[in-house]
Amino acid sequence: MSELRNKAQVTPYIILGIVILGLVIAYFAINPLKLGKTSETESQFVPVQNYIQDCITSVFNDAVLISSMQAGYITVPNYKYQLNPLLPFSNSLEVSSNMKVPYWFYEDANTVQHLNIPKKAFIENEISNYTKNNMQVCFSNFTSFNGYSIENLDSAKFTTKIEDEQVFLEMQSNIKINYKETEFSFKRYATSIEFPLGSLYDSAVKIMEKENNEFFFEERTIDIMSVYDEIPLTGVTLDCTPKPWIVENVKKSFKDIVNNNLEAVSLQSSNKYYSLDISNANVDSFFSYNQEWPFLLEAEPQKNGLLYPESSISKKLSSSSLTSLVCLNNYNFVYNVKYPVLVRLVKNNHMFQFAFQTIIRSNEPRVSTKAPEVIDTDSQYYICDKRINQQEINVFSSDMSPIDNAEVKYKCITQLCSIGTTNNGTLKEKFPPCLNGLLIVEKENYLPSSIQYSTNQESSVSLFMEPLIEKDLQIVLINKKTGSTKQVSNEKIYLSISDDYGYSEILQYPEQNKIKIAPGTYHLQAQVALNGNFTFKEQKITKCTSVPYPSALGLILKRKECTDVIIDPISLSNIILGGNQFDFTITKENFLGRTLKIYLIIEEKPGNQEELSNIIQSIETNHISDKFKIPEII
Amino acid sequence: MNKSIISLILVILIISMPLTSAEITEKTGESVVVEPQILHADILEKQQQTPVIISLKGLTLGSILLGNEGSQYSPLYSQPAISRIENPRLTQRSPLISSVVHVPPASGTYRLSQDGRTVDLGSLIVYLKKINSEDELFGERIFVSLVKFYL
Repeated sequence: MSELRNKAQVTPYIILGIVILGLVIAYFAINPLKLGKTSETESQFVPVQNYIQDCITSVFNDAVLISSMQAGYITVPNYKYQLNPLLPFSNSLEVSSNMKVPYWFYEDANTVQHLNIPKKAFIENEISNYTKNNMQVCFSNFTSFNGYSIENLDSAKFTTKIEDEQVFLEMQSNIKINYKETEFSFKRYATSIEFPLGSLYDSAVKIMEKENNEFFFEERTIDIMSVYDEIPLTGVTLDCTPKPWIVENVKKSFKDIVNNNLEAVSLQSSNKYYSLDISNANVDSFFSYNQEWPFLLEAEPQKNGLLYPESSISKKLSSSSLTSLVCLNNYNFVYNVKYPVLVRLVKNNHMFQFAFQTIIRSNEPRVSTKAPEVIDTDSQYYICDKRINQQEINVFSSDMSPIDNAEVKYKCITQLCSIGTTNNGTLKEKFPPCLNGLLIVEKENYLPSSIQYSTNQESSVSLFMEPLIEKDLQIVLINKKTGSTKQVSNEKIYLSISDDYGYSEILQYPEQNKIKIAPGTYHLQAQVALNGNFTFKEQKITKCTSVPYPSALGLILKRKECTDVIIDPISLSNIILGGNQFDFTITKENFLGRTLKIYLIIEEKPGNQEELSNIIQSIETNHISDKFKIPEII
Repeated sequence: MNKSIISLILVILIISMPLTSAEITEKTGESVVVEPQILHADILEKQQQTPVIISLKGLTLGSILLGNEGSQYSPLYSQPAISRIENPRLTQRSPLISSVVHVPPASGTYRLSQDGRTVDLGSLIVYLKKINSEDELFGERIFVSLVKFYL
């Protein structure tokens, strides 16, 4: 009885086993290709898979290299101002014609300061995007593998992680490689390269923080100005015929001295003066300035490119008898200096480089005249994520019609948040809570509009945008001396028109002779340049002063003494003929014409450096000339 | 698949005492810029590895033969079909060179300039080794590197 019960218990298991075996046989009978061909199929894809993996690693390696050469940026940010001989600084340092290193700190043409240190997450994103965009090359030659085809290339998603000594890449995809009737899914690939990007980046950030907090490089530049005789700063001479300094020579010496001093700076050094006191973790550091790079030097008071030791003290005493006995000359020059510093950090034969500007204003370390504009590349990780209060934003054109697809942004403290776009002229979205933030709306072919707006409670607001209309641009040159006008022929005009709300047009006339503009108030900056080969011959400037006779006769008699200053010859590839800087308003009433006509003041072609210097200096004040005319629409 | 090698660049770095200056010969039409142009010997004594950047530009055949006018005459200039440049290797062992790395252009491709005269070939980073004293720099040392282009 017991034996029979046991047999009955075993039977269902035997039946279940037979059923499973039957299902397995049936499955492989239906799918004959997959039966026993797995290893053969996979082996067919191994060379292709290896090729793709090697290629992606190579593109990833390129991305890391480019990022490290460009201060963490794969794409160098655009600079909205046109570079010209008067505005040689941009937002990046041009080390060579094919290498630009973005500044982590710089001042733009409007003296607005920018702190552009990319966050690690931003760099990781840049590397991932570059790898995705350039991995096409891994598949472009795919035809070399006869019979293979590829699908879903766009499905690849890359994630980069920067660690101290390594950079990791992970790819998730739905890429399918087909060969004859078989298919291979390329779902995941992870790789890494030995590159101490994290530790080099951390050192770079520490350097920039040290510079921003302590003005390390500005302080040493001021010391240079105080210590070196080649750069006159403040002092007294007892020479009765004081010899002036040539600004160009001072600038040349300044560049040399900066170059030599920067070489001595390091992260850690026994020489405390040149040491940044930053733990280096086996990182070698190189700080440099190259003579070919831009260098701004403005010194006051100067006359015709010369710095004269004419003191206010001696003028005060000029009526007294003291100056008759002692030729006392006091000088006190005020400098504005700006130059780039390139920083290269090296560890285990891997390099990271970035640049920043050192700025001296009136003999003091940089002080911002306007609030520094920090472009926080990591913005979405902070304020922008915390959206709480619902807001309704209505955007209308000046004719009261609603504007669709207007991009709505909100600037809170230093962070700029992208909120969304309008639909039927309205956007209802949650905003990060902020007091007195800036609400900005932008749309192509419209003048940007902005308003101060608080989002600490639910509310609504309406903004109006003016459509930009394309006008022909005509520039007329007015001779400052005679008032005669002429059309632009061989001249090249660098023109910048901007407003306070984000509108900016930079043109090079006559190549670009159309402009999109709307009624409003604008600031115009323009320089008129003439390209060619210009050589200014050696120039001798004679400066004469009245000095007392030696001995007691000096109490009553004076004589004239002159000194000669020689300015070396220079060659220029372009010269400035003139230009203007002024604000102007276009009203709706006078906006009807088709052509925006702008008048610019020019002078005669300069024959020497002195005349060129005068022309450049007068650009700021040309609008008060009686020959000046405001722009008009005709 | 990369299939063929089409060209070579010969880069020669000449180092002399007491200032180390880098000069580059121009071969096969390539134009190069070196940064820094002058390297003081004491930096090589102080640092474990010192980078020298060599920016590479290729000149089109039209530019080599006809100068500025060359870019006007097809087919003397055209978009190069370079897909990759291999990391250069040292052809002779140098006591001064630690390694050489090629960095491609930021665009990721080797494009012809707008005027059709030059091609951005990226840069080379030459890492120089630390020296113990200036004596190690006596005489001229020549470094030759071969850069391979792949179609």
